[in-house]
Amino acid sequence: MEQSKYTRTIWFPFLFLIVFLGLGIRLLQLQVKEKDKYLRLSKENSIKKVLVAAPRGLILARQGEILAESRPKFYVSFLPMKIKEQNKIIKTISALLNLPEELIIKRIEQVKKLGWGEPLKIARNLDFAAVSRIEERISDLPGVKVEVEPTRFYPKGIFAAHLLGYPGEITEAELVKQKSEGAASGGKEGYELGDYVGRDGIEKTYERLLRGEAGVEFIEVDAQGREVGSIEDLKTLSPLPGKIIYLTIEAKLQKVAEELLAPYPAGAIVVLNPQNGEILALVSKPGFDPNIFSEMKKEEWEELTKDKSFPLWDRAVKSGYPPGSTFKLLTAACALEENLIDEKIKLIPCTGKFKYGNRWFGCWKKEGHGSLDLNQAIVQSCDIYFYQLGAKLGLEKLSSFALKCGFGEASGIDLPQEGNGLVPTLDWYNKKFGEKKWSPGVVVNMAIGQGEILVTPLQLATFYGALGCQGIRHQPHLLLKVESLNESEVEIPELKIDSLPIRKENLEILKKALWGVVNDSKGTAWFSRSEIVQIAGKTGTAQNPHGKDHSWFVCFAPVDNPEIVVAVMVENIGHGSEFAAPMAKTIVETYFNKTVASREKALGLLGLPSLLSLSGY
Amino acid sequence: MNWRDFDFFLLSATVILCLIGLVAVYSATQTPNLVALELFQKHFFWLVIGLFVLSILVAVPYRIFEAYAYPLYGISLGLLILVLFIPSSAGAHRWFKLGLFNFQPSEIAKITTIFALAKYLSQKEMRLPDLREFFTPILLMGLPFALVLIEPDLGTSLGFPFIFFVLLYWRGASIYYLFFLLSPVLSVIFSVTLPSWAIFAIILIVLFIVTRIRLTDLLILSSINVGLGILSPVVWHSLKEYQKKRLFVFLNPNLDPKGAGWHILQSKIAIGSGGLLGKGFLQGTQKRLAFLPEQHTDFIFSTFGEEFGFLGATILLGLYFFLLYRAVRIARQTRNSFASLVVIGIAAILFFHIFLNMGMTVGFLPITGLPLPFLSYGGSALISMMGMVGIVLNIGLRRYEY
Repeated sequence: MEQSKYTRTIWFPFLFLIVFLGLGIRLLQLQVKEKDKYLRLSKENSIKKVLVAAPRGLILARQGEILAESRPKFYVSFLPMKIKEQNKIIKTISALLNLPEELIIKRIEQVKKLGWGEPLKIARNLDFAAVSRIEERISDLPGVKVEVEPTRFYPKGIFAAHLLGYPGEITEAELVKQKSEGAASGGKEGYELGDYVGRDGIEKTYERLLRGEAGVEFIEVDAQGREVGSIEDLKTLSPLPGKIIYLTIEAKLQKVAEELLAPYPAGAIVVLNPQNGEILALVSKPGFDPNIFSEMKKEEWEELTKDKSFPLWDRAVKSGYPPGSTFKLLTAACALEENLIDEKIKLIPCTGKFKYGNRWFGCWKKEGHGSLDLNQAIVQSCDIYFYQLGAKLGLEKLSSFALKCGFGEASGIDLPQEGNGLVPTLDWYNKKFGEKKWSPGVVVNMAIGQGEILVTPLQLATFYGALGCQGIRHQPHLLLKVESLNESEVEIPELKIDSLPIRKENLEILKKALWGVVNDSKGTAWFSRSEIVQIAGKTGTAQNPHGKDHSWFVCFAPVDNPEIVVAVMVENIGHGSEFAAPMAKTIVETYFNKTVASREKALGLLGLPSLLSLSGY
Repeated sequence: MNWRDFDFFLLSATVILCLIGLVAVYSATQTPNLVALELFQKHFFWLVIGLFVLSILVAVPYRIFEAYAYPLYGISLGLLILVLFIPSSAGAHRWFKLGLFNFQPSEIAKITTIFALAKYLSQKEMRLPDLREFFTPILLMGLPFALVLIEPDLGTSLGFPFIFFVLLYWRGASIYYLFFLLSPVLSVIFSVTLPSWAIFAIILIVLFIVTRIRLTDLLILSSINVGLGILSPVVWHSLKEYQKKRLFVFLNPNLDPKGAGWHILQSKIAIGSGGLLGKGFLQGTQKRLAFLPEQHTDFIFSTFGEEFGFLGATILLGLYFFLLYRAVRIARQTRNSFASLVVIGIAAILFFHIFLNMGMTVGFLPITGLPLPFLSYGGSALISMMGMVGIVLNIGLRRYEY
């Protein structure tokens, strides 16, 4: 044993020696033989890492219509070097491109501060004229280059702008924040100066999918900033384009909805499929053209942000409005669930006014509706009936029921900054006005959707969709599928399904009443009934402090097994029955005309071979 | 035990290396984006603790490690499992964050695995040409290997099989059998092309005949090798490009995500520009630009090489070699089989770290994120390395005991 161990182990120091000699020889090579090369590289610091931007992923509508793509655009880059000429170059560029000098200097300082060495982009999205002005003088401009990069482009301009969102250049503050977070979480691939990042809408929500991966190129430059060549030890990596996102949007419906809203200054439309939560159209008015964000035209951008009508704000998902009479369905559902009323019970007849405490509340129909059951109260939208329900239910019950139905919290659509709306509760009133400093009459107002309660058009559409579909509420969403050039499957977020706290038989009662609103001759939306499909819905005329009433209509169709929900809201225009309801009807009919046509087409295709087989072929 | 047997040379080499480390950390942290003095003070503090740990481990009779080898091994496995449930930082579950410093259970596992393997092997004659002999050692090595691999920490995990082969060789295991144990891995590597695998298979068959291998071993080894030889190209080709990339990134998150060798080039520039004599203490320029993300930890040799040149680097290599040489000398002279195995295991793991780290900074090997013993900033590694030297000194002191 001793002997064998001795002979075996004698090799160990030699093995170590050989490896260390190998390392030593390598050091000799680096530090003696190739010293000059590395010393030059270290002195001049002349290797530049150039990022090659990846094109952002396409965003497509349901049938593949392109909503957002990337197009090559010219940009001018500048490699800041320690040279006297720098100021002269900045002056020249500034004159040629009509760009303030301070802006260029500011960008150079940004780059130095953040410690990136690659050439910085000083002007992007340039037109051909500007590019040729630079190219003519390029020999006087060391370190300046004209290059092409993929830039976001929205071929349909204003179309679906709110839901798409827009990209913007990453800010210095975000980069600093990323750096500090990166230090904690390490190694994560981050953004660099000049990168675009989704600022709103789908562009923001699915930034990770759309962004792609930048490629890298390494160049060696001389002291004048001119490219000498590439470095042989370093590989060039081509960029990976972002993933392709298909949205649930039906381009045709979206177009019709946008056209319908076009004549009005402000409003919103939500169209969705209640059976799965897919958004078919989402419109907010006023709109904007997202292309101006990549063009970085300062005046236009400022105009948009300062506009008092908030064109960038997506009213359909972010804004809370008083729901007006569309909220009566919730009050009715709550009363039914509390067994306060049933289908047959009639309340105190409507005489046009109602006293609660020491305050008088009026019905919109001053001469009164007379004695009504629930069905007719909804069909005719009698305020007095619902005042009575509100008074009997009390604030606590009504507000907690509204919360359970999904009001007062975001519905979970895949868009940033979704609004919560507002369901005022006892606590809320106490906090806002102080205990006992508010009138208990607020509940009477809330029962007809007035007062402090606020809902987003999307929340209302989701609620009505669930009413139509046995109480099942699907999380509304825009993402249909994701395709990738280099990955077979991309994980997409799971969707939430829950149900309204309303029993089946009560849902049937409510549904019947909603059908009556449109199809009963006394109904408030009688003029918006359809020949093609049975629509059930509810009008709303919401008083508000900003001017004329908001016009609401929410409906679903066909009544038995709804395939589509439409919520229309036009700001400060007048009655729901007059403005919103006919628009909603047009959207529903557009949807069913299309599906009727495609069904016939499908039947025709199926019919043909069976005819052929019958005739003996 | 005789104090005349105490290896002062080994201790001196360690202390000198630690002092060099202090200098190097001080210099490497002189950059705009590191809190220099704080890092230096911390490193100094760890060094003091390390010396304390070293002294204790010299004093405690090493028989304790032998007696408690398996419980210690079990505890460190428990810690390796526990750390997987700690929220990841930098994409891996490697550290217990204990406020003051981050503790890496893999550091403990290295030494306890050496203890466990050494104990098992010292009680067994590894003479029989029989695969069954290797079952328990493979298990002892394989468990910590797998647990560290899935943290993931490829560099550290590869240390375990390295120790395993060194210890088996030291104990006298048949070289042919060590080759057989390695053959599945070689099969996967050589299966890249059919001819290379065929040549490998022929060599293997010849060795089977030469060693007059047992029939069951023959069947097991050949079916594993043939299976892997066929399967691995099939699996490899069925993987898509991004899946392969993901596999690599999973195995080695330190891999430059852009894969372009940017960090390695920066390291080479730093070392190469140092030249024969170096730029001088604190005179390095590359570190100021903060090109290297880990210049005071994994890439500390780059800064050292830049400032102290070829001369400094050679002295450093010489010190490392001297240290390893003294350790092997002790291992060879130690009469107790367990103790001898522990010392060679420690020498092996130190060598493994030095080789992988320096190989990385000079552009020989991919980035694995292993620290350079005694030089890199970081408490966990420094204390465990000094502790290991303590154990070697301890055994050296008692080398003539049976």
